[in-house]
Amino acid sequence: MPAPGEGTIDCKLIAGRLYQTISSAYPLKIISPKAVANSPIPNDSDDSQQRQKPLEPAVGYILSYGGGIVHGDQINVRAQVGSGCALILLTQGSTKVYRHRANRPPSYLNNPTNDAKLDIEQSYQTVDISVGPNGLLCLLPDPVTCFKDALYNQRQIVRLADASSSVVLLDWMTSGRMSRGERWEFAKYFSVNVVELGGRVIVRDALILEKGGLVRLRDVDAFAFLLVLGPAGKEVAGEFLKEQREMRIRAFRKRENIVWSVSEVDEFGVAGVAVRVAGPTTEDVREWIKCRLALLQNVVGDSAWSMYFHSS
Amino acid sequence: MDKETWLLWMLADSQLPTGGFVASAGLEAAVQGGLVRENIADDDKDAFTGFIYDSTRNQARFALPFCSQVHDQAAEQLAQLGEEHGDGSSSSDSDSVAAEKILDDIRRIDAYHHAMLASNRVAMRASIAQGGGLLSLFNRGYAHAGMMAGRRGRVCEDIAKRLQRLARLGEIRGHWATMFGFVCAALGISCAHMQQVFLFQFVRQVFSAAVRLNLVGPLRAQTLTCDAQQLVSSLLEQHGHRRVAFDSEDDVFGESAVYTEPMLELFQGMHDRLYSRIFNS
Repeated sequence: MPAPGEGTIDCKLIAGRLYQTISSAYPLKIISPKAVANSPIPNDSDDSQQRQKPLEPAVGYILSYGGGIVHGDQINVRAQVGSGCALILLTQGSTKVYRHRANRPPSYLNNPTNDAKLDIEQSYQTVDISVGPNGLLCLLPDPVTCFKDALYNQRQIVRLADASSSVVLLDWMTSGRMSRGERWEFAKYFSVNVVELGGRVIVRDALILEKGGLVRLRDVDAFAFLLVLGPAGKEVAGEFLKEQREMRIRAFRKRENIVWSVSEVDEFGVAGVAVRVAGPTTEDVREWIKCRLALLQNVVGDSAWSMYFHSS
Repeated sequence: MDKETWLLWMLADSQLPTGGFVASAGLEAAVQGGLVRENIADDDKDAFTGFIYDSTRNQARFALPFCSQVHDQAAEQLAQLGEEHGDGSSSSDSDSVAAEKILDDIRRIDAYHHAMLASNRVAMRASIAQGGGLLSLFNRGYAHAGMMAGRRGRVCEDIAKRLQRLARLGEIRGHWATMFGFVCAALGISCAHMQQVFLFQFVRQVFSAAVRLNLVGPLRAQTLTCDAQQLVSSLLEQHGHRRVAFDSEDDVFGESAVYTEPMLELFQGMHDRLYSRIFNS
């Protein structure tokens, strides 16, 4: 039985069949609907050799009871993506992070493995996933929304076995409960994305946003960071680079609705893109991203793809 | 005339030949993208001074810890070398041990810094170009100066030559922050003074770019640079102690090297798409 806030997901292929095991403990819950792979692409041209072989898809939803994270919560999700598998991790609705509330005992007190030094005023989430050779991880959560005075830290670690492993990682957040007029009123949002290759850190993106330092974000209500690395993401990455090449910025007076940029990544044989997008609404950014991830359908299959595409 | 002060003035000089003048620290893209407005009227300077504040703070929280980390480790090793009274063989053994250790430290710190720039190619490129410029400057300039004669100077010259070779082989990138940390340690500059000149240079570079981009006039830029002293002072007070945590387990709450400006990163990424531009980054 996992400790409070801990969960695991394991998917592997055994004799061509996908086996998925999950476990989770309050306040975390993981569920996994069944997804069906695409039928193999017919071998009709030279093309097919370069095209990524469809992977066996597995889908998992990472949920929190009560739909949110409160101070002192430590969520820890570990997963293994086996060779030839594609694990798609989703959430149901945005992750809401509440501020410190004096009368609610933090759940971490029930967790004997928690380090007593950790600040119980802050909440913390880790997602730590190993991706086997020819495996693909798609981490496609809804955005994190930190409420007023919330203190939130999260870390996503992706451990690639080798350059044949792939990852599509979306890390995004909103300005707050905009409907209540709360914008950029959280105390701290700290998010780290680490990609390791054979134990070596090859990409580390660490962002901290603290109250009083958000002048630049006054026109923006949703900000996303998307990493697409590895052979399974090649088509998607290619499209991003193409779109960027075809756009030319001329100095203009009026700000565009969605602003974005793409940076090519190429480290130790792992290649792809890092994309940053910002927009005035969550929906604008969501649609922009979904549209550009469409080619993943060829890799994960229609069934798994539609679970992501039709969510929310 | 104090040696360290003389060196600090040299490093602060805008004529320092490290190629910094082609970098705008993201300002050009920010202007063209509309993040910072052109032709700023006196009462509308908030966007511009806000940009200066935010990007300097970002430099203090992201790049400075790497610079300080290299300096700490190199200076410690170099201090252990002691005075120039060693005779031939035994001192040259400990010289090469010290050099190896410093090189290893720099490689590790530089590689980690690189990983943190891996998703921002424009900033990465600028950092490597300027770091390379500084290393060349050390190898072909400072290393030959009289004050670098002696045991410490020889060890540093050895390290710098090897760093340059490793950079050519692609085994090390030689980023600006890490090379700056090494060069300052080699020149005997203290950590505190290094941090001050590191941030000073950054502010000066951004203002210089702003003048060339016609955001402010050169005289007004001087006024604003004066005012920036207070900003840098307070940033150093708040963040000067920060170093690099190599394992994210060691930095759960964002106390080590982090980025603070997502929009700056976003606009920097656009730099190569700018239709017309005067800066490389």
